[in-house]
Amino acid sequence: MFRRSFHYSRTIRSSTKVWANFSSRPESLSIASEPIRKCILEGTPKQGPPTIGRRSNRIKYTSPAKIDEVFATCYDFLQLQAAAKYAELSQEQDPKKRTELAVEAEMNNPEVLYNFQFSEKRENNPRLIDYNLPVYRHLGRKHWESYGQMLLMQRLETLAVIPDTLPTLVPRADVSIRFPFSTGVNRWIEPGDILSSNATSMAPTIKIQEFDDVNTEKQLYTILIVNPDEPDLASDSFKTTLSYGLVDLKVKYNDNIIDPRKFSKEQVIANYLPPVPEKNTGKHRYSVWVFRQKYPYSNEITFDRENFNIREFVKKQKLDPIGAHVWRSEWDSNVANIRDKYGLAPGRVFHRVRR
Amino acid sequence: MFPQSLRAKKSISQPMVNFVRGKRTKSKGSLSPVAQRVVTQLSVMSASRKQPKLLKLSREDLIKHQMIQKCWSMHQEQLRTKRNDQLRNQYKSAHNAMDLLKQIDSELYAAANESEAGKRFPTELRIPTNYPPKKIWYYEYKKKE
Amino acid sequence: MLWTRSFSSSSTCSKSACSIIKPVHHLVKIDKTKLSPRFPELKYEKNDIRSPAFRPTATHQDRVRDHYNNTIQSDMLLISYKHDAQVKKGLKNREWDGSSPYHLNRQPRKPKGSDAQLPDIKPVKWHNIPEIESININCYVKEAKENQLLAITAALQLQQITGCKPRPIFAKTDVPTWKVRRGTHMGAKVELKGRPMSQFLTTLTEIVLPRIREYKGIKNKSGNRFGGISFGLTPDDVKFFPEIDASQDLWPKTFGMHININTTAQTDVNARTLVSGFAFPFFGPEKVK
Repeated sequence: MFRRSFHYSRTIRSSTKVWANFSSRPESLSIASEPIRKCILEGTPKQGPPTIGRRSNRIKYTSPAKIDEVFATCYDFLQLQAAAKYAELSQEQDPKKRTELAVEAEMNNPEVLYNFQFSEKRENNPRLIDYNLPVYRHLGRKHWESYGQMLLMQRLETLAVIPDTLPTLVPRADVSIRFPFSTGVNRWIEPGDILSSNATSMAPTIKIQEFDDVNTEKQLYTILIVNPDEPDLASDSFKTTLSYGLVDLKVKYNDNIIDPRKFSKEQVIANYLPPVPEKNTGKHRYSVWVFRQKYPYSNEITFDRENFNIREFVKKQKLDPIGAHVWRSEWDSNVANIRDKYGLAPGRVFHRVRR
Repeated sequence: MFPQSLRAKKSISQPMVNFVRGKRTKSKGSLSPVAQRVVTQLSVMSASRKQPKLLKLSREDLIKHQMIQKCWSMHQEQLRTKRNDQLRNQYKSAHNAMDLLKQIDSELYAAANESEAGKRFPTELRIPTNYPPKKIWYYEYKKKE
Repeated sequence: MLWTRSFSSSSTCSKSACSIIKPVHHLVKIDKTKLSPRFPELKYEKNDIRSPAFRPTATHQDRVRDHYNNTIQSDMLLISYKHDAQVKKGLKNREWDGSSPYHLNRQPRKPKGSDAQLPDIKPVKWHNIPEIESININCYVKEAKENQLLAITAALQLQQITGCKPRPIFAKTDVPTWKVRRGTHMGAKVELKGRPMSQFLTTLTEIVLPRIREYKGIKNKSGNRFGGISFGLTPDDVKFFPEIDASQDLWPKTFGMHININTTAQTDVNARTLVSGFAFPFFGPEKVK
């Protein structure tokens, strides 16, 4: 019947095929599996789409009619738009605009979209999702904002981590934590999870995923884990204790998990003290705060670990909070063992007293 | 289908009593024809069992579909901006022409600036079709019996 | 004095009153539906093909829209062009002059000659060229007060003609003289937009209206002052719709309906000019206000 086509002012030349020339492009902008790549770009093979594993399912499956032909036209159209963006990018000087253009030029690339949509985003494989590239950082941020960021902020607010530790947070980096496998919780912790004292008996590994343009070679990070729920009987209130403090850390876009192998003794300002809540003190919120540092850590500013004032510390060290996380611990029968292991004094037991 | 004896046994083992709750005991035809008509009409309008099956696309086809959607919206947006630019230019040139006319000839300007209230598009104007008929309207049309 | 959070819960609360709404300490907008782990497929946008509510919209060429974009839009711009036109202020509420102390906090006076405020009329430029926004079809069946089943048939008629799901209409008030009671199911209405609207428009102007005997057109007096044009079809006219015409014995009774064409035109004069571009004839003396 009636065929409609897009009209281009110029014909497609090889120079405009910006998405196909991999001599100068990073590998991660292409789909790793050759059959899938061919299926998307050159049309579905006779035996069906390769991502459907079972042969019987592949036979049952029928693609929408004419999808390959329409896609071929659309691919050319989008590639032309991308070529225009790349041409603009080569002229642009402003780094902010350059990032924007680099994102726009690759955002509609089906291979990029496939890689991002169908591969692991947190423990990313740099061959598929390379956060060094602005486009993947952009997609990563969008993905984080669609779930992780909202969940974190909701938990911080409902658990009153803000304003009990720091007044507020403008989240810019995705912070996730997990504890060593030997403790039994073999997963990334969801903000606000209640963990047993055994699970938290060893220092957590912390992952800082940056989405902004930062100088990864120079930028230093501070991590503080504080517990604002330590009872303070003298003032009939609570005090904040510092459970863990790391400074002058460096993270890269892809390699950004911080575990004890990644830092030296000088970078630890407070050794890890596992959560050992005393009996009948309720659930303690262990808040993880991640900061960007303006200056390297200065030793001159002292702090009291047992009565830690995080706001003053942040102010004095000129730290910029970019991410947070929280887990909760309460007293259980294993707390005494943990206290033994770390050589801590036996905990008190509180009772409800009627006045 | 069944051997004779088996069929007989089966008929014995299944008594006629039916314990299913809410089962229609009267046949459908017992409704009055008018009410039956309305029931049919309501079932035509209701959405039940008319929803098509959910489309299940393979990963490749999903990506293709998303790219096609993206391309279509981009194309539409380009057309829209082009159209708007053209209209803006049209308005501006009309404005400039009228400015010029005002300076040159006030009579012609008044005539050009007259209100066109009550103006109608010609009745012959049709909404275009891909294949317009040679004869636009059959005035002597009679229904085939 | 700094307030400290107490450890013992039995200590007296020093506050005399507290706000019911908890303060929020961040600026991130939280969409709770996205956080729920239930029904992940419902979290997709409605226009995402993975969503169960997905409906393809741009399924075919919209020739009425194309006709508007290619022909009528630029013509309407020229027709309604007025050199050096200014914004014509509509009637607005009047303030009290303050001569009496009772004027303080008194509601403003209604505008002169109107019960409500009227909108300003802005000159037509490239960004506010009138266009057809939607078509509302309203089918009120008088006899439905005696026979409720007729309202259902009327709804089905609307669905057959437009292909969109109609919504029921109910009598709003008791009218003893008409024997109408409040809440009685009286018929159906449907709002058409986009492609269904174009489809309905072309059926109307190309098939139905030409077949009506001695049809003169829409009255030039039609209009609601703010760019809405209305006209009616009688039960006999409705029979000319091809969907009804094809199965006439199934439709022993058809129902007349009111058709309201809503446009973005600011005056009826402009709206009528616009609607005439879609091959609607008009008749009678023009009402220019």
